[in-house]
Amino acid sequence: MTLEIELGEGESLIDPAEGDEMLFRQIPEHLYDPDAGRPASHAFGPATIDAGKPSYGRSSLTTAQESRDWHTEHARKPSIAVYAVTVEEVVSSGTYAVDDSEAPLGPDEARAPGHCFVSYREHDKSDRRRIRAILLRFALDRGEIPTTAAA
Amino acid sequence: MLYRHDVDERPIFARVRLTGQRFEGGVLPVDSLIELQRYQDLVRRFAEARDGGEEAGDLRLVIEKIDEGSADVLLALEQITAQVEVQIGARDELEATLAAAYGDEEISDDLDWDLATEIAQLGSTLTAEQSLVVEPVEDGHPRVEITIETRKRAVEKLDLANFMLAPADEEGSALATVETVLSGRIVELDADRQTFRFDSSEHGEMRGRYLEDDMTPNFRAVLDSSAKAPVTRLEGLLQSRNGSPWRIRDVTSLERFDLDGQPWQDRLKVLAELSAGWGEGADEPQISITSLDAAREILSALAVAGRTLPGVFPTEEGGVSLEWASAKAVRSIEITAEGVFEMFSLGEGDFDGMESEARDLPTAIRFAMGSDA
Repeated sequence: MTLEIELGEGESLIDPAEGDEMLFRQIPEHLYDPDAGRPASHAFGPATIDAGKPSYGRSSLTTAQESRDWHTEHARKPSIAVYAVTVEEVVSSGTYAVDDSEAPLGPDEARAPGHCFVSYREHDKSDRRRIRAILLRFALDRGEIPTTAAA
Repeated sequence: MLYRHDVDERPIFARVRLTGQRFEGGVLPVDSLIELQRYQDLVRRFAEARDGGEEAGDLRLVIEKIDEGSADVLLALEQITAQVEVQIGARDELEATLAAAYGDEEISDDLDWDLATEIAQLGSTLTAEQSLVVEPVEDGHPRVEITIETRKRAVEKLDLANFMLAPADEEGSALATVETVLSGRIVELDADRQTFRFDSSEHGEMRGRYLEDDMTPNFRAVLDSSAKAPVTRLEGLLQSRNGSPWRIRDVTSLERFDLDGQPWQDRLKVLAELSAGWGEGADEPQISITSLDAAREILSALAVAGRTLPGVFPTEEGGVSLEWASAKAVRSIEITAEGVFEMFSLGEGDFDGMESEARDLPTAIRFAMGSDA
């Protein structure tokens, strides 16, 4: 499969050579089933508002805890858990991760430290479902990244 | 004899006296006219309620005379029609209700909710040292004096204190009304008055009312205080006062989602009670009852067969996602808001998934039975 990589202003591809780098994903309450003890596959994909670019945090630039705290402070819904996938795992799922730390921000916009996204822009509904499931599978294999709720 | 006073042969219908420095010399400031307008509107409302139609409420009062000493306003009917007896009865009823609200008598249980709100608004433009006095034009009715102080007590009697005593806007109303869908439980019903108490999962307990009598059986059907009480979705107008949700009006539809007391009940209840805008995008619809019903059926079938239960999640489109997931494999059934089953599986070591779609529950259950990720 050949994938045409789309990069916007201030965006750069996270080098697959950095394959071991973890990308933290924040899990909001509604996408975590406490009975099952795991997040939904949807938690690893984009909501409509993400425009195909769900946010992750680079482990080389931030910690899981810092990433969670920032999310809880700034997002509409707080994070209740952190899971992670690696750059290599993202690539193996058939897509890529983008560092957008240099991308211009609109007024009243803020960006989390170490922010990046996994690109779903080029993928249709079926592909998105498949990528989400693959990322969930990797994330469950790794297990929840230990963090605590903000005081 | 219907009227006690006549001026220029036109019978005096009502007498409202405004006192205070700014009214001295028989002056009536323009911004005080809203109180006379409110008085007229109240007579109209009572007339409509008595007559059951709008014809009796088609009355217009005119300022017949303003006497000195304060603004002593004598009001007369602009036209005497066949409805005059009903209108006089309405006036008497209004004055009796005012007397109850401002006196020691009990306010009638039959007093319409909106009417109580309008009564409480009478006098809301008054400032300190001012009063509005409704002087009876018939024997037997008490005089009612409305001031900031007396109105405070009356508003409390009318059960409207927190709202009506708040700073009002130009129209004398701090109400905001929006169409909404709420989730929760009906905990009390007064079918005669078509009112109810609703325990909203989002806003707490509120009072509400509905207009159509034929909705009463629907309300009775969802009224249940047991642990298995259904989650009720209620569509109507949500009124807020000073920005806080307060009461529900004009309910137009009820939908129920039955809980079954099984282990997954709490999770499904969480989903059923999600308000619109529950996710990151703020525009997610509520989870449809159709998809919740289907999810419950699948979970029940799995439990009976002793199979692994999935994780249960809301979807952004208002459906439910059932997922069996592990570090090895992922299987899911996404139930759309309309009840279509989108099935997916990703096997161990696979990077390509399998998808299928069904519109019947048995097919979805068969897929679920094979899901032990």
